[in-house]
Amino acid sequence: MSLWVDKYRPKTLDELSYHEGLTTRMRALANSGDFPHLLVYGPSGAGKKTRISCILRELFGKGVERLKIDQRVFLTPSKRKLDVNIVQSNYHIELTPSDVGNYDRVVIQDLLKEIAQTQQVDLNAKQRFKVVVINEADLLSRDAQAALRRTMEKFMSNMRIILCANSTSRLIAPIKSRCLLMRVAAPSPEEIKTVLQQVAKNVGFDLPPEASEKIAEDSNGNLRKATLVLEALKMQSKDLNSPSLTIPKPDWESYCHKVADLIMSEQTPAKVMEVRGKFYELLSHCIPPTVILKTVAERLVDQMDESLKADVMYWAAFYERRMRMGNKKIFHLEAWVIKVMCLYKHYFFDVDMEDLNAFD
Amino acid sequence: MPESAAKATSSTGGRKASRTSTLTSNCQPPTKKLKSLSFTVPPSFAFDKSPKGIDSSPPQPISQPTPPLVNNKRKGKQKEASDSSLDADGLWVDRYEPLTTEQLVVHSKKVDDVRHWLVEALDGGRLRKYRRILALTGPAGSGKTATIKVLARELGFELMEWKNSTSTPYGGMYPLLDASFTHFIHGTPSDLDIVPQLDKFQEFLNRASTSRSVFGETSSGQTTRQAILLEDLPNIHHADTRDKFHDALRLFVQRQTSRDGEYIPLVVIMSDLGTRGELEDNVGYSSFRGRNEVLGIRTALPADLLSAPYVTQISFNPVAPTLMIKVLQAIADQRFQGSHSPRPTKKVLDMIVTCSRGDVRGAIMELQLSSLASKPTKKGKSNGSNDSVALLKLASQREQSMALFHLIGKVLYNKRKGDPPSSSATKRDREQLRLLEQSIPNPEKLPSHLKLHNRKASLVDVNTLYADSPIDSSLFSLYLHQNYTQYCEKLEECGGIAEWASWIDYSGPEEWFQANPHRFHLLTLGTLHSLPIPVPRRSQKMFKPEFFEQLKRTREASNAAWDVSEWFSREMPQVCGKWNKDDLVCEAGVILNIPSSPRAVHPKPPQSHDLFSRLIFDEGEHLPSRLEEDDPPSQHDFHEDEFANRETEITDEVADGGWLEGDDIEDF
Repeated sequence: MSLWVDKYRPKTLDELSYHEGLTTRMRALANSGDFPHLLVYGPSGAGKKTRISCILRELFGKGVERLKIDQRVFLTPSKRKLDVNIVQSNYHIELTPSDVGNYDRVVIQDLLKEIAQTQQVDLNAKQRFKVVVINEADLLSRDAQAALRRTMEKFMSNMRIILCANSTSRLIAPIKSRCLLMRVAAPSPEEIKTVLQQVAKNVGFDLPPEASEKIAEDSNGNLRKATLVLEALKMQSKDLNSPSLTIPKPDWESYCHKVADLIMSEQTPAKVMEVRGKFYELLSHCIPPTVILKTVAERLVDQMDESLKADVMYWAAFYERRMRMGNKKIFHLEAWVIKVMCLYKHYFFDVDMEDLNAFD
Repeated sequence: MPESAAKATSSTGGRKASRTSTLTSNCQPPTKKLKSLSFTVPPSFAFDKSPKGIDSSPPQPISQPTPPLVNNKRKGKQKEASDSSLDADGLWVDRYEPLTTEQLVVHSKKVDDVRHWLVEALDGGRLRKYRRILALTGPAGSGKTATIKVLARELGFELMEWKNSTSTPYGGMYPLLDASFTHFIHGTPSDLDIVPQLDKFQEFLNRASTSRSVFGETSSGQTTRQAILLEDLPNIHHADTRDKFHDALRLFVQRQTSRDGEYIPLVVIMSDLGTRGELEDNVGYSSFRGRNEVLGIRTALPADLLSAPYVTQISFNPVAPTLMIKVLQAIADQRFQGSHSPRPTKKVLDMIVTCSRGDVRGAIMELQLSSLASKPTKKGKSNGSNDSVALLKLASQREQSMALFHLIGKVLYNKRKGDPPSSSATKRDREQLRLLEQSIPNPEKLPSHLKLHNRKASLVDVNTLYADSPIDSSLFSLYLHQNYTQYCEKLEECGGIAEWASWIDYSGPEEWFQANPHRFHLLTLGTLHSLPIPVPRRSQKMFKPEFFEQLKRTREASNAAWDVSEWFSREMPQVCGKWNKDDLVCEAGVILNIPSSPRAVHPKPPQSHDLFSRLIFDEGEHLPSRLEEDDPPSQHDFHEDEFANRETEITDEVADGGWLEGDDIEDF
């Protein structure tokens, strides 16, 4: 099963359909002969990786598409073995070091050193350097980032690094300053619609504009999500023309919405307990706690009175920060829920809001 | 150093002498065994027990039917009456060691179990092939070792015991080399001496289980049956050592027979961990971190062996108070018969029994201690026993960490000065409470703008709680968090506690050296401050934190997401486009959950994606597992390979029944 997202992904810079300015600049960079380290960032599903692979194609030609996958074993200082799957061609290698958690530094150091110390052997290669693509660079530990920083300077002659991240805020400044920053913004609904039509044409069916409109709206600027939803709709063999077309939602999203409803329904300690159970359920399905908090908060804000919206969001942001710093995510999720429940209850019974601030 | 110079040239004899002296001077603290005290010949080292050890000291099984040289102390009982040197008799634990099964404080059924196993292992029968390893587990001082020794005496077999040698350069001398090689290679014994402990262990197992005849004949002139005793385990905390240790055991099980076609069984004795659970690095989301560091039978024996038929596990319970008091009385009778010193009163004995919590070794130790204390006064009976009571209080207080259950209860019931006394309280309880309340000063009145924070004085002493807490503050916070909602009446009270828990989690990292040192106090005080006064009693039940269960499932789901991501990148390799885990979890569910249409022949992704993609919202309430009064904290919370054990655990809890009713907490 190959997903449409993968199957109809643009392979060259020419096939890219939006962010024309960015594409032109990338082409110029690739052909300049002086290719810097890149840091590509932007929201999820905006096309960062697609763009990176297009640049690679532009740099090295069709050779980058001959891929091999192998499993490498790294040894941590405590002699623990780490298995890491790596996708590579003769010219580039793609890594996701954050897969190995705290040991990412080992992977970064060992692998980069090895790549950097071997010269490009292929004499016909268009470039003298190899490219290392590092995914989820913003999840790298401090240690790994520090290790990276040194390597980036030292092995500039043999290697370029392309970092791919959702945001630059968690990257240390020395890394940011060594890279050319390139922001890939989320596509607009119009652009998403164009891409969806393109995909439909490639697959060979007719996509009614209303349906593509709906999907684009629901996707929130996430092109990958839009394409997946389109494929899901098609797989369920739904009638795309019907006006009552419902966009399929992932289970966790509807679950979060129900949790929000639970919070609104009753504000008692017993309810807190119940909501906690639901949060545990979500967390144990690997849904990132930040996403949970965000989804539930958005749903709550949709339904609450205007005067409460700002407070709910304020506390969501407040506890989200704590959650990032702390270890036990459930504590912060729960503290937020209780806060929201208090706010809502007091609003409802029209009690003086002063009492609430006792806990600040 | 002159000594080292001498060593370089001298023979092994000199070395031995120094070795002996180190050992005897090194009389262990009175916790375990203390065999070293009863030795009159140089104590043998690990390998001296090996049948082939050509060593100057004769091989020395620790339990022989008629010990020739050693153990005159063991017969203390018979000699007692005529013995005048009462003071120099070592420890009573050794002295009044049980000699027959009747003297054991273990339930006779347990003894029968062990005896049955040993008979099957030693005398054959069809099951003999599977009677290879016997694992005895149970709390410290429940009579595991004593049972084996008594049975060895009764059934007439020898025990060969493995002991880890100390790690002085010469301490772990390899006996074979000791006798032969070092004579040739004068001066440079160091290369040869350093034989890894584990190699020696393997060798020990190998020899002990194969070549028995030499050993058997030297001891009593006729071949006796043997069993190997393993009480002093190698350092199995270290991953490599543990692997080797496991390999050695596997090899041992697979090895068919000894030379003359007999199996030699292995007895492993392991004390259960005490109540101090270790958090280690199990808290955290990364899949590479969750290692299981709890030392227990599950780490000591490899999982495949535990489930194989070769291993039998018999677990001992703490000694029942009725049995214990009999033993103590018997010892006291023997000890103080015809002696001048006063016999400890019934009160003292009772106190010892309650303090010991089923640890018979500890109880005898304390009996000895109390008799020591009462000796110098010589003023009269009453005075002596008072002294010993006081001393016992001192000695036993430190040892007892508060049961987790009571710790949580103390905090969550939030007792304050002037609370109405509970209905079940006796007159004495009330009196005690009144005295306690008198000793606590009233807090000063707060200024009017802070009147919100006015509380009655709390009866909970945070410092004592902190000192007695069996768990660290991180785990403590999880237990509180799991249970606090039942004790609150209003949402605001919940809010206060949740806010504190959140703040404390945020206030610093998890590791002890970086963590906020005031976490425990802040959490306790914050919780006490937020809880209602008085806390409503509606027979709340205590639960164990669900946190670990969730963590485990998260890990499984995360592995599943990883598998699916790998599967995608194998199915359709992209130049750069490996699925990010979070993206996969959040977005791909839409597609993965669609049952594929029958006409599609494409391969399917791993079914394990259900773990993260399928979430059904159910209205029903589920109950986490309950915390029982005598539950040690965390032990099973932290076990990762608990799956096998889960079922039994659940049935146990059902069988136990009866959770703590709200008012029981009064007693503590």
